[in-house]
Amino acid sequence: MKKITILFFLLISFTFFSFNIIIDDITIEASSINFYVTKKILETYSTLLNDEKIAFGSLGTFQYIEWKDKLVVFTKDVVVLNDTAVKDITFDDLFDFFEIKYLRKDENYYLASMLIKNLEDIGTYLQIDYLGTNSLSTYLSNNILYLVSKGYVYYERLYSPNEIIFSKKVENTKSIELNELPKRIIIQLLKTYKIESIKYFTFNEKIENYNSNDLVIIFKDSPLNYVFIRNYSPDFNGNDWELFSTSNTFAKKLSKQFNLKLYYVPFIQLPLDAPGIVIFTSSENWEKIKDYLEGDEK
Amino acid sequence: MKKFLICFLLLISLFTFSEKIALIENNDIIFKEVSIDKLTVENIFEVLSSYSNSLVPKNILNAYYFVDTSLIIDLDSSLIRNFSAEDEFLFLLQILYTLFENIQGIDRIYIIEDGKQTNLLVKYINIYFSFPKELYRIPD
Repeated sequence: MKKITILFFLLISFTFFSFNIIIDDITIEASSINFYVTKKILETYSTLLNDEKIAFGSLGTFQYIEWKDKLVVFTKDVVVLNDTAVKDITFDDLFDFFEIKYLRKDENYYLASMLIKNLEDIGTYLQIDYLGTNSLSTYLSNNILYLVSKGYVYYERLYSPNEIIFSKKVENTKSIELNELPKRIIIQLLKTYKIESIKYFTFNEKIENYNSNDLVIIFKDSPLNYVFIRNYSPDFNGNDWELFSTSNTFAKKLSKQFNLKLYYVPFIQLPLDAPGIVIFTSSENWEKIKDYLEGDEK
Repeated sequence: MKKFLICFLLLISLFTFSEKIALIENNDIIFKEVSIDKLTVENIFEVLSSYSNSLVPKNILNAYYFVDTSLIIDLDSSLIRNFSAEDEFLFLLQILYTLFENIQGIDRIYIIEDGKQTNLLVKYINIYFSFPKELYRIPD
């Protein structure tokens, strides 16, 4: 009876101290924190993030793991985090030390499977730079675009599944298209472009205060006579065709009217969310071009 | 007479250039017919950099890769960092026109720098996304 009781308590204590580290669809079970468990967690996590690989090894009776300029050393009695010896280390201590974003629910630790480094709103485009796996879904409702977490996503804070990470009001949007590139997602709001006004800028000016129904004209004072529009890219599977085609129509007219040679060059000044043209020509010609465009628009 | 004619035609064929490359003249792109021994990406860059009216520096190509119908070229950014806006677009067009003309089986080109995907070629041109062959065909 005494033996059974001891076994029972041992079993209880084992169950009590057993944790699940959940990294996307991988679960690592661990009842204590040691070199092998830590190595397994960090290896799995750095692979998921496609981030810096861990370095590990032994020095005498010590075993160490290095990741992202942080060093954890395992000795017989203590764990050393950089220069600090910690007795009775917890997973919270370990994850905080490595700046791993996690959520603890009872015995489960959920690690962020997607770390959003940058979310840029470029009008009809959203550009998301991230590490890990794409754990986002999108939907449109009542002219509002929602970005929703499908898993554990970190963007300024940790989001659990099915939380709204970002929303924005959108107009005249037919549908949404997701383009996945390495470590980057481009969300396009597919619109029909109808030029309602023309906005003029100079080459070194910040291109702002325009909307998708503006034609953006960018002048550069130059002895050359060129007109440029952004090329379409196979990366967008034809979804940037309408923007390209609208810009191209105006660029061809200008090319013919003012004897400007047309090239397809994605100058950084050209907006991704509105038709745009860069014109290299003498500033003496700018007014004539403006008059022509305003006449054409009317 | 017949032998002479054959020899003459052979001689002509030896001097007939078949490859076209893009060079610079009066701040614009021009196309020139040249002979390139072996049409590899490396050779094409070497030929482009051998002309004085070219903006392609010697040893600019770090590496290149083919992935399906894409060509990925990796450039050394330090060799073009002082380009003006004009130099930058002419350099880009030289590369795109020449590679699409001479490398068979590709329909898009990605440009990366120093082994990494980057936003800017130098200062003014976005190279994050690929360039399609259709827009950079050398006219006949």
